[in-house]
Amino acid sequence: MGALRGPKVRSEKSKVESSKGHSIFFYFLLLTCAVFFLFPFMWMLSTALKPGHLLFVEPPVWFIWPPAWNNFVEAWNSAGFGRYGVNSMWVAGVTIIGTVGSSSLAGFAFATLPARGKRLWFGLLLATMMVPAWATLIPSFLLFSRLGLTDSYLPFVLPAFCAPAVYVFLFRQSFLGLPPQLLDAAEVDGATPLQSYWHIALPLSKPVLATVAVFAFIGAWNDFLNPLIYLRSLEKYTLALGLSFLNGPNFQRLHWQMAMSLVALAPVVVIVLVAQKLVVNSFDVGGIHL
Amino acid sequence: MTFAGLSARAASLFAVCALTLGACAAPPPRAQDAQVASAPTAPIKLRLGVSLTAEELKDYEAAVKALDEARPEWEIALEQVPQDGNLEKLTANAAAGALPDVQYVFTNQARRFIAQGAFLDLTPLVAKYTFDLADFYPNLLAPLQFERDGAQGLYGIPTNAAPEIVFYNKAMFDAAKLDYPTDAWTLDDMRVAARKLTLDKSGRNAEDPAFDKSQVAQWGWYGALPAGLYSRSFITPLDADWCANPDCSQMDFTSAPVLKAIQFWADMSVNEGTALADTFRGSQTGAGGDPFIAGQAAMGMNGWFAIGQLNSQGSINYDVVQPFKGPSGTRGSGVSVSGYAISATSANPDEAFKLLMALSEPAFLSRVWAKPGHGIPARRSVAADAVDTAHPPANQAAAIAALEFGQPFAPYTSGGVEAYLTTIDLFIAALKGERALEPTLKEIETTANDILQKAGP
Amino acid sequence: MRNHQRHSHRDRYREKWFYVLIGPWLIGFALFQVVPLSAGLGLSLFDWTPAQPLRWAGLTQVMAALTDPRTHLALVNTAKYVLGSVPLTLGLALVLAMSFHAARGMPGTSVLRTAVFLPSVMSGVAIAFAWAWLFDPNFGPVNGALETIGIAGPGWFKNQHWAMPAMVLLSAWTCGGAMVIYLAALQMLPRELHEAAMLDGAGPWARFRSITLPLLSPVTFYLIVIALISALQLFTPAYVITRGGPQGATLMTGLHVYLTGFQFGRFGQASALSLLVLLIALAVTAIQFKLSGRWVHYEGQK
Repeated sequence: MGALRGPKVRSEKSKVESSKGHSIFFYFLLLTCAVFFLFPFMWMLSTALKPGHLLFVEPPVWFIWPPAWNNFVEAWNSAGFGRYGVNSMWVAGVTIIGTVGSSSLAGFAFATLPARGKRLWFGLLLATMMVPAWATLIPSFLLFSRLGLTDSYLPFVLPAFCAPAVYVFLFRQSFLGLPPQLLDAAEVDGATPLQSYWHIALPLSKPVLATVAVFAFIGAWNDFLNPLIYLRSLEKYTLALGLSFLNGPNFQRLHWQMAMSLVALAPVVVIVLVAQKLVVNSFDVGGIHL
Repeated sequence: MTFAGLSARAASLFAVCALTLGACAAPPPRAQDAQVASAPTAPIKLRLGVSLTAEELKDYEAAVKALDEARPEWEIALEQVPQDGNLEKLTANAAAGALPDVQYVFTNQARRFIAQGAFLDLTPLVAKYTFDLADFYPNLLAPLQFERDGAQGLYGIPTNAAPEIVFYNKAMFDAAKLDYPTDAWTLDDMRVAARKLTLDKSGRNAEDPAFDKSQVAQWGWYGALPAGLYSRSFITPLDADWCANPDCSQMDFTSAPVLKAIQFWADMSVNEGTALADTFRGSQTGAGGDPFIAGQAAMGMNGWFAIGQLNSQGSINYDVVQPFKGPSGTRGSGVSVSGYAISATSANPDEAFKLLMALSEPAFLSRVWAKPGHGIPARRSVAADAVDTAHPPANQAAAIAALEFGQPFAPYTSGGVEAYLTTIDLFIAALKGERALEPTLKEIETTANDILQKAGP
Repeated sequence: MRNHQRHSHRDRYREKWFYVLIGPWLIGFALFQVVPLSAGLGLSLFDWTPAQPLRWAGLTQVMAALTDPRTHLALVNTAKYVLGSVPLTLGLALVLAMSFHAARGMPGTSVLRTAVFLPSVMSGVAIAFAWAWLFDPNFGPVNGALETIGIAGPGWFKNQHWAMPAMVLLSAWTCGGAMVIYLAALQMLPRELHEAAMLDGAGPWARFRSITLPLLSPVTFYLIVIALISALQLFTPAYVITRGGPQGATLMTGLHVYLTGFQFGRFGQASALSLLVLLIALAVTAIQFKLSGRWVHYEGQK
């Protein structure tokens, strides 16, 4: 801390003023970045609103009047997207519950409970993150096929309840930052680790919980491979599969695909906006200033 | 733990794996044909796996539903797979012995599974139910035939085909004040026309001395050997064939006739600048995808499916004509073929075959495939039903004619895809003039044959 | 556990709870990892085609995988990708997270945050299409913008020297995931240290370097480990945009494994490749953990 001693202490007022200045500067920096990040989406929207015969006009134009809103209708009607959307919602919802619950429990255990062999299990946990998906795809399918569990959501929803390693790791890292005094105090008071988890760790970790929930949702929402391999009946298909119907080697309807991709994006945007309430406490006064 | 102990453990682990995999690999016992004396009471469940576009699916689903109702002894479960994931799905199902009873296959993907024994040899069933194959175009059967233990077997029945024909952009011909191509055109006619139809960014055509080859905005001819190894139909009209044997598991790129034929195309792309060297990936056009459909080429060979794409796009005024004749009057057309196969692990192979026959009925084929953009039925009797002059193009009969001499894309043996992917960059480099043609072709030949040989039948 | 004290009652109690809480993970590990991986190991050592009996192949498939020139190419390309993308992506994520943290309370920041997060959230295929268009050499906005300042833009994905940089930039564009994690971590940092430092008169850069960065180090460590592992498995952009081209410039390990197994049908080799990738990831992560003692600072531990 000695290195931080130095120039005179600033007054409270100038501290507030300079932080306000900082806020505005960073705000405009972010506005510029956001435009850049949104560029491809603007292209997607522009493609989705172009009539099919003007998709390849040269030179390319951003918007063609009138906007072809019927692309959305036609794309929606070309396959059972309503049904697919509902299915995706269900799968993603169950995945969130399973993932957040099981991963936070395991992460808590790794972070706070000593045990013989913990090092080994943690090493194995990390190792499982490194296995390429293709390596386990066919053998897992073989396993579930023998168990008669094809054409069901179980094969790819069940793993969510078994603490996916990448989230366990994240929870562990964040729980390692919990003040040990709190946990020790709880233990002295007679709390079981489960109670410490529920009453201490979870409330302090809302941002991480929200983050993991969002990631789990997105992973399940966009998952193409598992539904492809395991599902058979059209009425069980998810949105990711439905989207791939719109563009293939012999069938390109780029405007439809962009339209439906944007539609499929809408729930994700909603979830992300909602989750941000938990991640960022916007009523902070003070806090960490830059 | 001693090394001996460790290796003993390892050995037992491998034994466990081996047993597990052995159990998985052995197909479950099949029920023999259900020729029971009394009529079956419960409908037999038959899984029908397909991989269709969204538009094809609409017609197909309706037709299958009607079939299901007309045949109460069956309960048909339709399983549609996105075309982008079809190979993965087939692989997973084949690995688990869980293929549908009747499986729709693209012949350029099917061979590997046929060779692995995932599908049944249909010869005995064809004989048993006297299924008449005479109506099917004989040239479409080749990729589905396979020799095993010295006997030639048939492992699938073709259902639809999409031959390549020449598409041309009428507006571009009008602008160049040229007559439209006809069925009498030769490749030399095409070459001459292509020079007038290739325009650089300043509007000069290829005959103009100031023409800038590096600034082409519109190509006269879509592509010199656009599909690399699969561009056999570009070579055969020039009285050469780079497939050295019938199933194209051996290729020849260096003998004199083949070299001469390839040179024809290389001249167009390297010297004249009238044909694209990198047809689909966009390094020359600036946008990936099909250049004709994107309105950047005046003529090109394209499959039947392109009609559906162009009509839905509606931006190009086009027509089609038969592939151009070579010096001896020969035409070449590559054909995409799809067909049905029966899973080797099907519990009801006889009923599955009966379903296959029903799906191959002329009326069914006509109802389901005969539309521009879908396939052309693989049966001679109903192939012409695919012609519907209510939609462009006008000369759809050209495609029906092309089925007579069309050849399925080859090589279709198990190493075909790998050979293609490994050599396509070499083709493109040679056709761009970045590499000398002959040594590159030698390299392509060695590489391709190496892969084809290692991958087996 | 080098001490030989008998485990106290407390230790046993906590150990029991440890195993209870990781129970679900253990089940999943056995069912979804051990079983398939053993099968994968078997696949590498046996010549397996479905519906036919197994044949022992020994190390031939493994050796074929290791000596395949495409394997070497894939490893080199992946290394290049990692060296470019990890610093860029994490750096950008941190800068953005700090910016959001500084600008919180301003109107509309949650919309801006969503905008930045969006690319990492969309399906890989849509992202790949959008990015390919963005970097289209003739019609894409990037080259268009470069042209307005007088630079002739390179061929990006169509050019074998620029394809990998374009991939790296794609990784930076999808830094939203890392940004969100950094943001969450920043929210959870204790304020007292910063306030004390400010009272001491420390400037923002000094505070950042001595307090924020070290406190963020567990999260940074996590993100680096994850980024390396993801790079080894990266598939969708390479498959959708370039198929490993041009001339193998973007052939990465994830794509190579897929092509070998599914497109070429050589499953034994593909399994061996998967195991190779796994081993590399393990080695790299082990090294990271070894080195982490020096720079990662955990608040809860002495």
